[in-house]
Amino acid sequence: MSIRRIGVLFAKDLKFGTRNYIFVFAIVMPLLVSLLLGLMFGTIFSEKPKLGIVDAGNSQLTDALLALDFLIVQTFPNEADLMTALEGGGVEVGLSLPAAFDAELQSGARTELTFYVWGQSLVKNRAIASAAITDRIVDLTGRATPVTISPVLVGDQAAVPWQQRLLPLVVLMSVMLGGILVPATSMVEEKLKRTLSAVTTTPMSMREVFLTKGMMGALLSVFSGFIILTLNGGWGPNPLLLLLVLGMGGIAAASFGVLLGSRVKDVQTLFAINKSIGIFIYAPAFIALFPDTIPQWIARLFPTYYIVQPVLDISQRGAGLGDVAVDLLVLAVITAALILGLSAAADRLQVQVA
Amino acid sequence: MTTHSIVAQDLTYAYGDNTAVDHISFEVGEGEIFGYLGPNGAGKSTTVKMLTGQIRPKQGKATLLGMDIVRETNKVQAFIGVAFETANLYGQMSAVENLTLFARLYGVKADVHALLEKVGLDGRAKERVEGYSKGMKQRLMVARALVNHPRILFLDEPTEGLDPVSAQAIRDLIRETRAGGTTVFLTTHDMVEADKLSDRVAFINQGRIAAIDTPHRLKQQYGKRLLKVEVEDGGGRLAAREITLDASDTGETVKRLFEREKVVTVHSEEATLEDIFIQITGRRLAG
Ligand SMILES: Nc1ncnc2c1ncn2[C@@H]1O[C@H](COP(=O)(O)OP(=O)(O)OP(=O)(O)O)[C@@H](O)[C@H]1O
Ligand SMILES: [Mg+2]
Repeated sequence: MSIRRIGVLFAKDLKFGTRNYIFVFAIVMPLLVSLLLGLMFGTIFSEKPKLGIVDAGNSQLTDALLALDFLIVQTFPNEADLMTALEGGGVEVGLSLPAAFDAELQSGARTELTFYVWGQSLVKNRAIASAAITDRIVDLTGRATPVTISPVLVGDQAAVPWQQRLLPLVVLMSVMLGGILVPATSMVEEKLKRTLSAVTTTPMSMREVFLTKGMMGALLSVFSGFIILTLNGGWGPNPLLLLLVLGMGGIAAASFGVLLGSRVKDVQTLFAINKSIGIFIYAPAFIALFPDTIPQWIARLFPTYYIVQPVLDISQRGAGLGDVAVDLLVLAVITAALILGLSAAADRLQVQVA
Repeated sequence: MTTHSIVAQDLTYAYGDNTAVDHISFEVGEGEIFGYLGPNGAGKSTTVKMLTGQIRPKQGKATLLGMDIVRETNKVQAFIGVAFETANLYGQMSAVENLTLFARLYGVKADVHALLEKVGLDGRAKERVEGYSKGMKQRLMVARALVNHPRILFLDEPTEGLDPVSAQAIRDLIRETRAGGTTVFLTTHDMVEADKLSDRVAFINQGRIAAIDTPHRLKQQYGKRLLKVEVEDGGGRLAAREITLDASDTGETVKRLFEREKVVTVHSEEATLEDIFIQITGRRLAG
């Protein structure tokens, strides 16, 4: 392995391969879809949580929450109005504070707080609002977690909002499209134009070529995922962990892309195959569209589930490494299998390119 | 020759059932121009591919500069240059960019412009290669093969389809390269070119070597040297006579001819490599 040669070929691909329409397509397509969905359903990730409060006794908690800029806080004169707003989605979460709330809090008499949740609200928004409330209470009392917040669902609980349902598709698209197609087409082109045999007749080996193409795909995949998450404010509380998952997903996608490109004879076949395996790749996203009709565990049968699920868990539900460790392990095993397949393919192609 | 740049032993390759190269053995000395001659489909390119590490021999082995090409492929490849039979350049890049890329892959400094000048492409060095004619691409392939100052240069039909001036420029370049100590493995079916350039030639036919020697000795061994004589009969008509030079009674025959007939012209003729190839293999060269 020579880092220098890999760097040289990578620089060539970066300079000349990026003029390729596939490359542009792979970057632009997820952006377009995300933009379109944003227009149809509002910004996918970033809408601020909407909190409604009924405050019978001028609680300090209300003032503290109103001061926060990452929440949209609205006060209601009575519980009935709050409930109407919650059922219609006017606010996503609600609090009802009795007149004696502050006093009870200070004396330690109050240990529980009911937190109303609109059934269709984004899980992420529920988490943010509930965390904000807990933090404010801690600030006010100076004690750690004095109050348990118990959520009560309001409204149509089964329905998952469309933003939420479409998220896996946008995430998968941004991670998989460039990650697979760019290295695959680049491999096929180098084979068709026979430049691959020119390059591998220098001291550069097929494995080095594979690594170069794979790196390009993985970086593009991470870049694309990065852009989508940033545009949609979807980084969540664990950006480093999310970046790790994007990286692992990118490596898996790119390995598959290189493998595909090393086996396929021409670009037409590549696109035909890509279309038919597209169903396989986007299956978890498709299944997530119909949470009521398709049992969600089926998604686990598809490899890409192990990319998209951790991404959503981290960015939407604030999951930590422990929560996604099993999924990531599966992803690592899948990637390892792909890389094993790749090294066999490299050896085979090394003696066949001529 | 004591030092061999290339040693091939029992090299064999088959595409499926079709044995393209069939237990071929030969040696090429350091600094030698070795002509590898044969008709279409004889197995020339397949041999080059094995020697340059593009395909792995099914049997036998090849040693280049003392290194086994299969076991030390990448190491050997640092010391060789290959001009392929079919153009495999980066079309969306210019000639300069193509050569620079390969120089970097080899990790060497190369005077790209001097190389392009030698193959007559310096005027169009910055154009995209996809706009080049077939012959221009071919010349760029030769330049690329020289970018790492190779110790062994493989040329698979480098002058095929070139105009006479360009072909001559390539031949001059081959001689110049050899003068710098580089061994040249030259594949061609141009017999005249092979004769002019090669120190030794190998005739390859149906995957086997039919003969291997210097052009001069091949001609001595196989070719009949002839005297071609034109004589005029009584009515002023011309007739041709041929006299074999190496027969025991040649002197007597020549003497008799001059005594009895009116000789108009006489010239000696050597057999061409082509004649010898046909004689040895029973096949023509040109496809
Ligand atoms: N990629 C391939 N797949 C299958 N058979 C091949 C392949 N390449 C060459 N052959 C076969 O191997 C034999 C030798 O081919 P090769 O290309 O070595 O001949 P050559 O001497 O270079 O001919 P030419 O003068 O036409 O270049 C032929 O019978 C050819 O059909
Ligand atoms: Mg050939």
